[in-house]
Amino acid sequence: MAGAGDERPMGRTYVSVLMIEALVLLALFAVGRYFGSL
Amino acid sequence: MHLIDWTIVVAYISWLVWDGVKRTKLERTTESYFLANRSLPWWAVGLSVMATQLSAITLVGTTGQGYSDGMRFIQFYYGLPLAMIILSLTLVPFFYRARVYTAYEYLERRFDPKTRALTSLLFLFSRGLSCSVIVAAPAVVLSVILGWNVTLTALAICVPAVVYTMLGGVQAVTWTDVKVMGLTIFVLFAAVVVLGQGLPPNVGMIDALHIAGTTGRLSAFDFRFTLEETYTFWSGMLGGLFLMLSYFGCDQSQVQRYLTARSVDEARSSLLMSAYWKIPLQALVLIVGVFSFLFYTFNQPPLLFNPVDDARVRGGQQATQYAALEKEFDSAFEARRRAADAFVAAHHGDDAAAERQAAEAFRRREAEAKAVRSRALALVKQVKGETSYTDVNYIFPTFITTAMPIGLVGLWIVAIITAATDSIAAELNSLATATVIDFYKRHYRPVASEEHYLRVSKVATGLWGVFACWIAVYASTLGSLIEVVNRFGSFFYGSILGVFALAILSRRASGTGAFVGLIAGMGAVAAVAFGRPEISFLWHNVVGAAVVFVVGSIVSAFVPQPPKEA
Repeated sequence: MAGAGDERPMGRTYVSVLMIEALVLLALFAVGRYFGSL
Repeated sequence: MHLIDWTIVVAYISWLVWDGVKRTKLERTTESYFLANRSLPWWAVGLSVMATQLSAITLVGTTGQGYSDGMRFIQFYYGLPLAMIILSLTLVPFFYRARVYTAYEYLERRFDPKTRALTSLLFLFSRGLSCSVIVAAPAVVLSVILGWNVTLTALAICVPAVVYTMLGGVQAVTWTDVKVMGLTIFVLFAAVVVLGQGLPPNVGMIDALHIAGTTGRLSAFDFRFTLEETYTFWSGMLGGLFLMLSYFGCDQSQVQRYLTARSVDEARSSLLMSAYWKIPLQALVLIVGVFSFLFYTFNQPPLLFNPVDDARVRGGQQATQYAALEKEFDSAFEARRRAADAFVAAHHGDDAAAERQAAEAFRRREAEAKAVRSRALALVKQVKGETSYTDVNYIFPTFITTAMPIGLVGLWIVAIITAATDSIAAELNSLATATVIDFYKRHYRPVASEEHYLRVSKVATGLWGVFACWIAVYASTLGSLIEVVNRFGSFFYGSILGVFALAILSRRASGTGAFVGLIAGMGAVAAVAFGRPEISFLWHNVVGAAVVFVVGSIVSAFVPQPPKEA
């Protein structure tokens, strides 16, 4: 079993979380604008 | 409900209870009972975190919000990914390395016993009360829609949770959450398919999205900066950030989920699963609501979605007025349906001006239908003598019982019941942990055998379960008062976050400073909530956290932390 000391740097994971959130929000924004343009 | 649906409901709930109960033999110590010996894989913990937050009212209430307001509710979650990153960097490694059972245990190590006792007590108080909402709200909806007895419905939700949580501990809670999340995602996708099939043959999915788009239901952004509006980009990003930091970082019902993970990294990964998936999942729930609107654009909906209130108005003194409204609504529905057909035809053509005109005409017809419904809702409000009234929680359950195919009805009913069951199970487990670790073991019986503490833990879970059942049955008769109780719990969130922020960010903060700051923070939130009720509750979290931090820092400067005894 892994212990509390088994820690690895997660900087890239955090950046990927923020990038994916930005993409999801961008997609939501684009969908709203495209279908709500009329 | 068809016999097949009944069989699905009974079989699924029986399976959950049986699977939970058989985990009893895994429980030998309090660490295994409350923390699964810190041995669970990150993906199971991550699903458990998401399942605990996704309650039954998410499935019935949020789909209803999607129907009436579209996607705008999703802004509530925009601060969540950032909150998860902040927690992964700060509180998660603090809690994990400290080998604590409860988040509040850490506050005694950093400050003093009274700060720990007060925050733990606030948790017990607010979460104990929230049990009533978790169970009572869906129990009321299911009893109205299916004609079930409300007390028996509340007990059908509560009792299985009490049984498997008491016997199986956190292992039962987590693995049940995994099953429930799997079922929930399946029924949500199935609902989109069924709703899509309910559209006329000439209306494709893209056409349908264009119809929803013309009414603004696909707009997920409101960039206005206003304290009064609950769901805006800024309230979600700032108010939501503080709420999520407090809920996932300082609320034992969530902290306990990731303390069961195998390592700090797995605990972090379990939280980051929500960061990746919460917004898409919530979008899926809201899309189901938007498609319900599209379904009822082409298929006649009832004027009121709550059949009990419908019968009450129909049989009362306002019956004639209501009948006239119904007739008006039928005409408005027909006009809206024709306008939708005309819009689709224009959309398929090449004339952009005609398409714009058709969209404008549909918006007008939609506004007319909405106005008739608003008058019907006002009539119910008048008949019931209530200050506010909505039937938004009954929209999707009405679709389930009247338009879903046999089999899926059972799966949806079981998804709603078990969403409430697994949320309350996590609450019971964490309430028992705080009771035993923060009070019984800390103040009443510091030295005893593991068998004794395990027995006490099971008794505490059982007693909290009995309390939850009792208060849920009582709350199911409270009507809109349930929401008041729920809102009361949100008074504490920001303030508790402020205490943890003091603990981690300020080296000079003292126990007395944190204690006084906590009381000042709750007072400030109460003053804002009662003095300026128009300010959205999401901002209360920012106010509470900021006041605790500032007052706590000032008091700490005058009353420093005494040196720890060697």
